[in-house]
Amino acid sequence: MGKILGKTHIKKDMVLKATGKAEFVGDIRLPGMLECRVLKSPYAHAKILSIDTGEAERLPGVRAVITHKDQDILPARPFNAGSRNEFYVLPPDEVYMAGEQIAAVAAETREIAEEAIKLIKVEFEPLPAVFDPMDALRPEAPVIYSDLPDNKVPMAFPTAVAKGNVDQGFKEADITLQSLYEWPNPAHCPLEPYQTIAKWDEDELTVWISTQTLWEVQDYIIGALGIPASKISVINKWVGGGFGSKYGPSHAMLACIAAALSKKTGRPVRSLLEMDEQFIVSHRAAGPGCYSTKGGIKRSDGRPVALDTVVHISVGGHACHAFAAPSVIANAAVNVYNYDNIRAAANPVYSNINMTGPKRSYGDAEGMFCSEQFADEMAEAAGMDPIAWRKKWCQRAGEPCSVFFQWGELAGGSYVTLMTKAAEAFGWEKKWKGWRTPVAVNGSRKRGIGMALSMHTTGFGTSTTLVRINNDGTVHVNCTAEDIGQGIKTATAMSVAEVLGVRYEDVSLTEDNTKYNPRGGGVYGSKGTPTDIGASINAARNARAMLLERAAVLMQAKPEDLDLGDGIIFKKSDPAKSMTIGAVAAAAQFGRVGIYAYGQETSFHTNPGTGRNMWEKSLAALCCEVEVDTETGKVDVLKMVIAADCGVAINPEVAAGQCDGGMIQGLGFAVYEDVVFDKGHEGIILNPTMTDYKVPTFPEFADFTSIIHADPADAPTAPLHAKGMGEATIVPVAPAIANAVYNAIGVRVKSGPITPARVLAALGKI
Amino acid sequence: MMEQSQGTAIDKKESVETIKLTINGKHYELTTGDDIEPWESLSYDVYPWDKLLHTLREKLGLTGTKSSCDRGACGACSVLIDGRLSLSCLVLTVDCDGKEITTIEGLSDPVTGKLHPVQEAFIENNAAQCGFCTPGMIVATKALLDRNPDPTEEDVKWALAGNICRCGNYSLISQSVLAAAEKMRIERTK
Repeated sequence: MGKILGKTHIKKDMVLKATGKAEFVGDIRLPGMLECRVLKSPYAHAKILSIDTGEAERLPGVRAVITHKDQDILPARPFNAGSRNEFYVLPPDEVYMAGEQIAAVAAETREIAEEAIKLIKVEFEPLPAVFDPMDALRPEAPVIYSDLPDNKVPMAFPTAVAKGNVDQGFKEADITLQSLYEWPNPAHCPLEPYQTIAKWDEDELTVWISTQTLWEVQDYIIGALGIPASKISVINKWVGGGFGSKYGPSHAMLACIAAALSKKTGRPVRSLLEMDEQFIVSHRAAGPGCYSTKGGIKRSDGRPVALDTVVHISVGGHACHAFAAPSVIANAAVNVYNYDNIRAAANPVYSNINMTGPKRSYGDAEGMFCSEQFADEMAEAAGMDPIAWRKKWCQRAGEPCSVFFQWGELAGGSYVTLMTKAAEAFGWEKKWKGWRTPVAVNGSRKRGIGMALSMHTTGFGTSTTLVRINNDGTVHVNCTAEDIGQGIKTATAMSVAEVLGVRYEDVSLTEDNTKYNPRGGGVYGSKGTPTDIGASINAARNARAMLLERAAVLMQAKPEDLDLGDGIIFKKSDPAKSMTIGAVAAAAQFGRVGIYAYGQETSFHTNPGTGRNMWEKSLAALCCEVEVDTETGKVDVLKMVIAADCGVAINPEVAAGQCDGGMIQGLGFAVYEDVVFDKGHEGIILNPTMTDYKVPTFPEFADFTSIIHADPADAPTAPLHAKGMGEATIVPVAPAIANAVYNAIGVRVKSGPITPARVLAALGKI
Repeated sequence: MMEQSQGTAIDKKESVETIKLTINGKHYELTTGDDIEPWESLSYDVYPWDKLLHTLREKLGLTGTKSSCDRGACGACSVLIDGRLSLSCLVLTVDCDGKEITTIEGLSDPVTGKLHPVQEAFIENNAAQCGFCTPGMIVATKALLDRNPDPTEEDVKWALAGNICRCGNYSLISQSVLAAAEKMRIERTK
């Protein structure tokens, strides 16, 4: 903690956002801008025999129509490694999901473009489709790719992790439990749907896009359009919510389409998706799947001696991120408890639904919906209460855990501390009446309490930053920091101000633009704080060193005899001897050019002592109370307390906002949100609107409390000891609610979301 | 009234009518007409099918009002029509002839530029995450406080039930609404 870090600051975007002046991509108006609409497949699986765009092209006001002939394939990305990851933005001969984009129109108005889309004639030959992973694995299942007749995704990365001898472990176990879970299948549903604009100027392309991963979008466009990186600028504005939807190919493909249309017409083209289309086009968190798990414990103390988990997951026809999300889900239990013997494996399977891709927590919400319910099953079988069992067997810092099926060690943080904090604030001890025992009963309504743990890896990849100290002592941070509402631009400015001893108001950030900024990794994997802000901190540290070196020359002192603060560099022994930072930056002796420093941060770090990866994770514990109406099956969540760690809380109120938001989104994930596919009729999504797909609204916001546990020791590897916390906060909500429902009604709902129908089915009433 | 886009103009002058809107205190006259297909002419300011949201954003450049669900389910496009909270994605512009409309751009004091107390309270409480719901949320809050200056937390929840914050920032938003009510109470007693 310092002068700035740990004290709540008003975010730099607040005035803009409260006055309607914050510019989002959809707010940009360019002269002569055309509107883009896209033709989507009505079939989940079909051959394309022919595409006739003639009539559409002849409609007055239509300026261009494009198909696969105008596009190249998207380049491979590392997270897809091994899967069928190179695919056409607009496919030439076959579609793999309902809603797949086939052709696109640019026209003078949206209505004309819409009309033109209807005039494109596509001749399809429908093929049999398959949606569930278990169906796709049957020998008689329709084959998605003819050279992969078993529908299994070929993987170059490990798909399993092991420890000890699992068979032996089960022999040693006194109690063995087996369970099958199904996670919910929610949509991201950012209020700002995908938005992008492309504009060619001679041979240079500018793309504005609402994105979490600016540089990845540029990579996709370069691949799809075959243009050099030197001829392209990708620019981000304020982002109206991402939650993972604006990371990966689904939004980048729209930028590729707009760019191709702009090239063909010589005019700017914008593609603004409607919310209904967003549901159809966007990737899903983790397609339908199942989590089959078996665990063994000792009767005496509940010691978990064996775990055997297999995850089957539908990853769609294009298998975006087919490696990562399944591995995260299968890793869930491996990552929290010290089982003596472990076997965990993921089976990604092709199917005819949306691609699997990133969504807030990248599979941990799905995996831990299952594994944290199973932890409760183990605790109950051991005759211990849920907190006691977890406190005894959860991992401690330094103990082995696995990320993406690679063993390393938990870098820092304490589940035990977080459980204690959450339980105390919740009043757990007073309320807990034992397993399957409601804490209150009022007619048909029964109340129960439950809890769950959470973790999510924080930090990934490499980011770079340039810090410039101006001649007046103000500071420019030249970095890529996609602000999707988490407040990263503000937190970056605060961190740089802290390191350089200047006022927060004197630090400004450049707009995200690939033409001018150093490469950032994007904001996903809770990496914005440790990796992107980390790079800025490292650059500021280098700038600080340069400042002190130059000041030492100017003040005839040694750098180590100097210190800085409040915009002043002074002698430690005689603070009256001082110079302003601006004066040092503007010194004639150094050419009056200011100070420029570069910084980089790469996550993860290695423990020099053990040689193992230090998996930095944000952790959380959540307790909740629910009321279940056993007549209607409705679940109301009355109270939640989450305790989450973050190392240093850079901007505490905003950090708490991440917890609040995690709880609200987690609540939707737990009890409402499910994208429903019509499996009998071409796999279309039946509820692709905000009227039919319900997300939590204000009235559901009840007695929810966020506790930020800020201790720098919890983030040993992150610069300034600040780690991300946006994702771990959504993870524990659904399993805690499921556990509370179990204690209220005495039966476990193992499939999510926990809708009235599922509750009534569990009670045997329907 | 705006720069005309390129297109194939067809002479249908006899069908052109004018509608008058007052938006944030400013008067607008917009041309409209019916008996037309989208691809026939680009000469009207307002087409019969244009929603108020579209006119505000695309014709008048008032992009503070956000377009999200486009079916009245999220509240991002909230504006005041004759002082009443309305969803501009569900209102046809031609039906607004003669009406007075207030958008997020019209909340600050027209003379001093001072922000509305609701805006100040949202800013001071960091009540926006991504900020896409914020203009609608602030307009809906103004509508609430205009009719109920002393709301309870429960009143706030139900008054803003139609405004979705997908970031889930309801805690800080609720805090801001109560803070705004307090600010307005103080201003009234001055």
